Amino acid sequence: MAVHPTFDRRRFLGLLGAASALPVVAACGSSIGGSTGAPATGGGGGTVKVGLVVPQSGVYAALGTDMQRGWELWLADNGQRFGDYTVETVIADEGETPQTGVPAVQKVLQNGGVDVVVGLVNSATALGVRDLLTESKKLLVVTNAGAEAVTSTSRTPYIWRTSFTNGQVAAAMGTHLAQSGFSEGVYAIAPDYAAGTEVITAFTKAFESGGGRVVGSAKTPFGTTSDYQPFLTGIQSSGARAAFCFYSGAEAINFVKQYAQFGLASTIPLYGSGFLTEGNVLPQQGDAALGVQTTLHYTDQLDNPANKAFVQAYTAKYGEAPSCFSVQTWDAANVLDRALASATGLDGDSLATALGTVGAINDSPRGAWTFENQTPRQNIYLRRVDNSGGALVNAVVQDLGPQSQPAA
Amino acid sequence: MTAVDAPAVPGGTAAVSPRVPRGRDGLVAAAVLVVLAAAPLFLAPFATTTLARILVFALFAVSLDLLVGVTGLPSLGHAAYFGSGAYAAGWVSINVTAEAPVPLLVGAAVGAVAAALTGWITVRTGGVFFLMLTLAIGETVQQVANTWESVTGGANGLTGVPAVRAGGAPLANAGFVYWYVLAVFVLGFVLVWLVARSPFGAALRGIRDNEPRMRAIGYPTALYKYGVFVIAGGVAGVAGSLLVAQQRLVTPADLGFLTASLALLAVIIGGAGSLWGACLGAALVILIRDALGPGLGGHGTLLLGIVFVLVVYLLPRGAAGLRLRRRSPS
Repeated sequence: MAVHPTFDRRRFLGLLGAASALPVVAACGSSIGGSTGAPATGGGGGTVKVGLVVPQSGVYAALGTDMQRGWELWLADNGQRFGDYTVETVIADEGETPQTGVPAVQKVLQNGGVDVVVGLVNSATALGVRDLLTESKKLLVVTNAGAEAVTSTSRTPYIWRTSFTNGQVAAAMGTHLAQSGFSEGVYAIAPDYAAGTEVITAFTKAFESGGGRVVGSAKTPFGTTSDYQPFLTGIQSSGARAAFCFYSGAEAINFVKQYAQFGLASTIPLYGSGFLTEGNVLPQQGDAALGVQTTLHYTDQLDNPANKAFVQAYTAKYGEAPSCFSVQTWDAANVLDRALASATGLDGDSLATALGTVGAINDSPRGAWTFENQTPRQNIYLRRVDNSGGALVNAVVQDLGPQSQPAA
Repeated sequence: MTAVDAPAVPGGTAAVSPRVPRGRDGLVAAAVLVVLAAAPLFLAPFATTTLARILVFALFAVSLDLLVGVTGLPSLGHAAYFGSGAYAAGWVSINVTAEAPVPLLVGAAVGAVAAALTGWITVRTGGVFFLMLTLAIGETVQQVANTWESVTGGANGLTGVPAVRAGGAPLANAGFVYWYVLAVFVLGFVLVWLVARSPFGAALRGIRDNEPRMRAIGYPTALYKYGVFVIAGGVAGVAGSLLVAQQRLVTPADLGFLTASLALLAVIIGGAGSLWGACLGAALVILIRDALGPGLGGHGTLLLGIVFVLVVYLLPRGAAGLRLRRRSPS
C-alpha cells in the first residue's frame, strides 16, 4: 500500500537490536568492584597482545598507513615474535581528534584486552589517555605525538615515546642557523595552535642563545589558512635573512608553493621543521620545494647499513619509500622486542622497568639512539630537498649530532 | 514524553497527545530506567563507558531537540554551549573543587550565560540565517578554545581533570561514574520534558508552526525564543559537565562543527520533536562512532553516513515516527 519502502517498528527495532548486539556480545561482566579485572590473555607467557591505534580515517590517514607498514614490516622480518612471545596485533582507528582516539584506546584496552598500546598521532589524544593507562597500569608506546608535555609535565612511567618532541627538532635548527651566518635576522612563522607554539618557542630559545635575533614572527590561523600572501609580505618587509617555519599536511603544500611563487625562495631561504617536506607532501610540492632545508631525526637518504636494508625491504614490500612515521613505529616494535627479553611480566610496571634498561638502540634506521626521560635522545639531521634522478628527496646535508628533549 | 511532537496529520495531535502519557508509557519509562540503572552490574567496563557516553550525548541531543524539534530553530552551533560547559566544569575541577554538584552547576551556568550572551542576536533570525549564525558562533568559540592556551590548554586540550567526588570520595570506578551520569541525565531529561509540555512549551510549538500568528495573538515570540535558547544552552552545559566527568578531558573538537552536526544528526535520526527519539538517535551515533567505528578500518564515518541516508529515506519522521504510524490504522 505504501509507495515509500517504509519499515515497520518491529523491523526497525530488530535492526537496532542487531547493531547494538555487536559491541555488547563481548561486553558481559561487571563494572563494579576491582578495576584490575583485565583477563589474562593467551596461555601465560606465550602471547603478547598489542593494540595498534593509528589513524585510518581523517587528515592523518596517510601517516597511519606509514605507521602500520612500519609495524608490520618489523614483525614480518622477525617471524611475528618478540623474543619468546608471539605477537597478536589488534588495529583500531584513531581518527582525527581525541573524540575518536580516546574511545579507540579504551576499546583495545578494555574490550580487546591488550597488554600494550602502540601508536597515536594526535598529541591531545596521547595526553588524554594518560589517566586511562595509569589507572589500568598498561604500557603505551607513542609513535608520533610530539607534545613536550607527554614526557615532561604529564610524564607517567606507563607512557614511552619512540618518535620526537616538537621542540627537539626545532631547537636543532635554531642552533644551526645561529652558527651559519643568519644570526642577524630570522623570521619565524607557524600555525596558531599548541604544536606551532612549542616549535617557535624552542626554535627562538635555541637561536637566541646562539646569539641570533628573531626579527619578526607570525602565527597563522590553524587549519583554515589557504592564502599566505599577507604573511609572505610581512616576511619580505621584515629584513630577515632567512625564514623558519613549521607546517605539515595540506598547509605545508600550500605554504611551500606560495613561498616559491611569491619569489621569496631566491632571496630569503626557507628553513623548517622536517615535517614540512616529509612523506607524501613532498611530491605534491614539486619543484617549489627544491632547496628547502629542514631538520628531522630521519630521512630515507641516510647512509647507514640498517637504513639501507630497511629502505630496500620497505620499498620492495609497499612500493614507496618509508617516512619518519614508518621508522618511529618500526622502532616501537624494536624496543618492545628488547624489553620483552628482560621483562618479568606483561603488566605496565614490568614493561616500563624493562624499557628503562634497553640501552642504546643501535640497529635503528635513524641511527643509534637511547631513551632519556622515556623519549629518544637521537641525532637530528639537516636535510635539503634535492632532485635525485627525477624524484625529490630529503638529502642529508649535515649530521647535527645527538639532541635531547629541550628543557622546559 | 511523547506528546512533544505535533504530527502534521489533522487530528493527530488531539488523538495522540492527551491519552498516551499516563499508564503504559510510564511503565515503559520505569522499565528502561531500571535496566539502565542495573546495567553496570552486568556489563564490562568498556560497555559501561560506552553507555555513559551515550547518556552524555543523549542529554546534549535532547537539549538541541528543544531548539530544533520543539521551537523549530535548527542550530549548527549548539556544541559551543556543550563545550563551554565542559571547559568550565573541567577548569573548576582542576583549579577549585571536583566535589559533586559544583562542576555540574558551573557547567550549567556557563552554558546558560554563553547562550544568553549570543542568543540575543541569533533568536532574531530564523531558518537558514539562524543556521549560519549559530555555525559562525560555534566556529568562533572553537577558535577561542584553540588559542586561549593558559585556560583551555589550546589544541592539546584540558587534560588531567580529576575524577568527580561525591561526599569526599572520588568516583574512580567506571560503574560509579556511570551512575552519576545516569542520575544527572534523568534530572536533565525530566527538566527538558517539563519545559516541553508546559504552557511555555506549547507556545514554543506555536512559534514553530506559525510565528507571525503567535505574534499577532500577542506572544512576545523573540522573548520566548530567547528563553528557550538560554534553557537549551544551560542543559547543554550540564551535558558538557557530564562529558568531563566521564572522559576527564576536553578538547576543541568537543565544541566544533563536527560535534554540533553529530548532535543534529542524532535529533534527525530520532525524529525532531521527540525527546526519547533524540536519545535513540544519540545512542546510534555513539555506538557507531565509538564502539563499531574503531574496528572498521577507517570506515566508521562512512557507516554513519549510510545510516543517515537510510533513516532519511526509510523513516522520514525518524525513529519516533514509527510509533505514530503504528497507532494510525494503515
